[in-house]
Amino acid sequence: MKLDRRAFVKLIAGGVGGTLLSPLPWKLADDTAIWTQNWFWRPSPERGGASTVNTVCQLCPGGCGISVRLINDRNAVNIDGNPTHPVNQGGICPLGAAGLQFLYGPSRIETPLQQTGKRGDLKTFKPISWDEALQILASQLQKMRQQTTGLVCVSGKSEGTVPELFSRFLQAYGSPNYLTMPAAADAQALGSLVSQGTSSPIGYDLENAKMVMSFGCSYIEGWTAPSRMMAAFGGWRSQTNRSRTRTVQVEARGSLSASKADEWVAVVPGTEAALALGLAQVIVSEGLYDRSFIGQHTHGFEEFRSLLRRDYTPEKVAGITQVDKSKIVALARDFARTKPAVALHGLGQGRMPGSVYDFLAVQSLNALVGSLHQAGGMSRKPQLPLAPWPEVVLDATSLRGKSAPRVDGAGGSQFPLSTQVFYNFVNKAKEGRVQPGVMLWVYEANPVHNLADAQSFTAALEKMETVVSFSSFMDETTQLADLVLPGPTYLERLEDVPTPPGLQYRVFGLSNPVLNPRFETRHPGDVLIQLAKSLGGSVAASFPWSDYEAALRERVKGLANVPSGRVADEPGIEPWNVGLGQNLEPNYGSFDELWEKLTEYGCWFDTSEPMPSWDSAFKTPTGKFEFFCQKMRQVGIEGSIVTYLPHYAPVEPAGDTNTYPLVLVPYESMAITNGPVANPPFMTKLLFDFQLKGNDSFVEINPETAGRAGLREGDRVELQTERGTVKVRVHLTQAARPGVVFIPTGLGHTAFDSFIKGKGVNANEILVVRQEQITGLATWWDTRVKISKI
Amino acid sequence: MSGNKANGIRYGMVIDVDKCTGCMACSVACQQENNVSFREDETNKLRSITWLEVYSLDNGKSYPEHRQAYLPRPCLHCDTPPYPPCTFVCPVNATQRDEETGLVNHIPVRCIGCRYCISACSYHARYFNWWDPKWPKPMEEMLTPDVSTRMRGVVEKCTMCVHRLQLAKEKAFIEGRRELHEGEYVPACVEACPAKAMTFGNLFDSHSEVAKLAKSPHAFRLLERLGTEPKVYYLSTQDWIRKLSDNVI
Ligand code: SF4
Ligand code: SF4
Ligand code: SF4
Repeated sequence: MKLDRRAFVKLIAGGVGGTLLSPLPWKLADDTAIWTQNWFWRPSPERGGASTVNTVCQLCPGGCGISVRLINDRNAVNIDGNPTHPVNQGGICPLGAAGLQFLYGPSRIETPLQQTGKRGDLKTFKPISWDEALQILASQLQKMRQQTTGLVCVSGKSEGTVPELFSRFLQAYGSPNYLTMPAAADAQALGSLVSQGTSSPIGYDLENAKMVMSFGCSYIEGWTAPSRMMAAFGGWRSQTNRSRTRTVQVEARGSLSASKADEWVAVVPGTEAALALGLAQVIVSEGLYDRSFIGQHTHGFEEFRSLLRRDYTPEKVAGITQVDKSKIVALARDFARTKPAVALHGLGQGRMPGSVYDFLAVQSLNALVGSLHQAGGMSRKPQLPLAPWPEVVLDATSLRGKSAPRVDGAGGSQFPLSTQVFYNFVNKAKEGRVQPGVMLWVYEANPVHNLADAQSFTAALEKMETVVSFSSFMDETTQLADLVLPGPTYLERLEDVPTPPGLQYRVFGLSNPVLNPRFETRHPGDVLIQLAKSLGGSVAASFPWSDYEAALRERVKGLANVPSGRVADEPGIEPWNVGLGQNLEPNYGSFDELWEKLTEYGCWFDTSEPMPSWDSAFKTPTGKFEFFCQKMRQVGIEGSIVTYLPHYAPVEPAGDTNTYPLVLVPYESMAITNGPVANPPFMTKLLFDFQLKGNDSFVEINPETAGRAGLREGDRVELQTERGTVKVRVHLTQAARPGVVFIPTGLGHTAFDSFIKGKGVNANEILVVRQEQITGLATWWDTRVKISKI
Repeated sequence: MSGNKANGIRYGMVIDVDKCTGCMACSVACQQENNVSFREDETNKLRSITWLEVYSLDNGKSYPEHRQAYLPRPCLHCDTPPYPPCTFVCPVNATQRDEETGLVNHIPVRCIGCRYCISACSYHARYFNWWDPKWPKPMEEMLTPDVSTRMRGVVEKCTMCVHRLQLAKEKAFIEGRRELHEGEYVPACVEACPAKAMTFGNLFDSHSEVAKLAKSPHAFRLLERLGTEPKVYYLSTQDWIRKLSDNVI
């Protein structure tokens, strides 16, 4: 059967000349081709009956409805978007479409593992049974019961019943040290707290906005809920809708989000918020603001007005952002006159907290034009009416843990406002300034690869006594774990997927197992319940459920008890057209019916929560929206009056300009995933050869900058920052701002499979993290860098 | 000989380049739907198989006037009379246009790998299997039985997901219908697109969405001047994108 095809073609080619006119050789060639090509090693997929199961994607927080096609109810062969799901409207993103490459991926973990040798040595991972694994963990936790605050959990998910069970476990056990991966949401929560009195996540009524101004958000490249954003964008560009929505992108890089916007405002990277204040100044000084809202429902407007007049005149802002004065004025007028207009916050995909003042600046723009808590504007993501679980049962130990200071200093005297200060934990642990004997749990996160300043987290890990991973995949963090308790993938497990980030209406997604778990995995929810039971006492009493499903059902009952809401059971549902505050007639009569429908369709939604009314919207000391944030003063944050107002508070990039003459800025895109999983082969294949070539990744620089450094397309260079050095190649493009080096995130994996491992460099290794003084929030948007040809 | 002028069915596609966000979900969905193989290193683009290739375009201007756009390109299923360039040169009839639907097929088991069709196609829509496709052990399980896997030495390309047409026809037949409703047969890429930038249907049915969009003043086709009559149309209001469509990609 080993017939070389080219030799074969040559063989027949000799005879072709003379017999070209006769059909015989062609017929023969055709037949031979058919006979020789039924290669026996060619895989032939199993045939059988096809079925489709609806569930919800969990590869990012986007929460898209998906339909999985199965053969013989057992082999998943395709993932499509589910057209009944209102978030993604039948569409799907590339990561979601490649989901089966995770289910069947070669880096799946098949059983619990115990590290019997040196950390990081994959060969000394010993497969153990679940009984053994749980016993090891339980006995360690028993031993630690005198120093319970040594249990630290890092969760990659911030919402949903499973992260809630993790934080509940820590409470019951007696540790305040529950952390989620840093994100722009951290700054938004703090900013909302000080200006509005509640730290609820943000919701944007984008589908009803007429003008969308994005301050550095990669709004069609993975920001908030990616498929929702792309669906909204498709709507804005509708061929039939005459009054289309205009988009403005404020960004340093000529990304797709910038190129596809009606207007791209190129700024100095990191000055997006300064531009927002520049627009605010024009709007205020020209009297274009919403007088009734500002007059009746805000506090500190006069102080804000004087600050704007002093520091954010178009001249000054032009100096900071390098945007033309006239453009600032024009943009401001446009933004104030188009109704409704909304300004978006969260640089890139929103994975970096940034400064709380950046958020306050963008939010103030929404407040000025009257887009706060209005249709087509910025509001809160509505809460789900889930039934509460019983209170956590606390014993003396857990009560002590509850009031103990957090490992990251959040809520203490240095960071009184913050609920978490991730990098404080990292730095303290790295320097050995945390208590001995820390046990770290990592759930749905891969901090060793995904956190900016990746080395620091790795160094911090070294100081931990025990590292426990709940991952389904052998990722970088799991490689360094002592104990691995693998969970099933999202296609094999039951879990809730609460309202995706940035939505204005309620969504409750139910992820169903579409097939039986392929390996000896166990649901983290079940693991926690079993663990609690074996610890006994009040910990066990806090977990009264037989299993995770029972715990989940208990919460979902709340949905059946409210008079409004529907299971999305037909295509084309557009909740934003219903209008917020409108009740929906439920299409189920009881909880059982609701549950059954949820498992069939995967999504419940509701529009009954109205935008907050002015008398109840703001829980601040003044009961108003506070430009001047009293809360900051109340908790003891000291400073001049500017400290309490939205302002531009840049954290200087690290490194001196002589040694590091250029600025390094990370960029994120739909082509490379930045979540806990690494790029699947289907996606990596599609990277352009000016993004990845062989194992080399590329950074983008402007030809002019390249010329000065004597660089040509494709040259190999070394990038050096205060943090470290990586070797990459350069791609010359006019999309790059002169003087700036743009580096893609998500590459440079040292784990997972041979399809991604070793490809490109990890930008996080050279990004320098700086912390905001009053909040401890981290910024790594701009880092000084030196580029040298090698 | 050529049925392309007759009334009937001409399946085609309209891709709105202005709506396209460049996410490439279409291309990933195509790979999954059609058992397209993948290798550890796919960075030699002359050897990489991507039925739906997404091209990166830019307006050639300097920062900050620079703009980029992505242009997804399936096989364009040319309606060239009397034959599309690729089928014309195939010595073994491994690729033909089905005159009932206008779809240009390719039958790998007939293909002798001479690659004439690859050179004949102006759009680089055809790919050659330089290696035997291999799936790492568990990944074989995600192969769909709807499309057979290919082998070293043959050409492959976008089929417009013709197996989906087959399935839709069977379903219609069972329900006692001879005709398909609009939207019953939709290729995987069109279904996946989260921005709804792609529209698919019968270009000969003047009521269909696709026919209406194809007549839009913003509609254009790639390399129109070659006279290949592609059945994939593009939409853009941007002059620079429309101009580029006449360049060789
Ligand atoms: S956007 Fe997120 S949730 Fe939706 S398909 Fe993609 S990865 Fe899944
Ligand atoms: S029509 Fe089908 S085969 Fe062609 S590019 Fe789209 S998904 Fe691929
Ligand atoms: S899926 Fe749609 S938006 Fe994404 S690249 Fe393809 S055509 Fe463009």
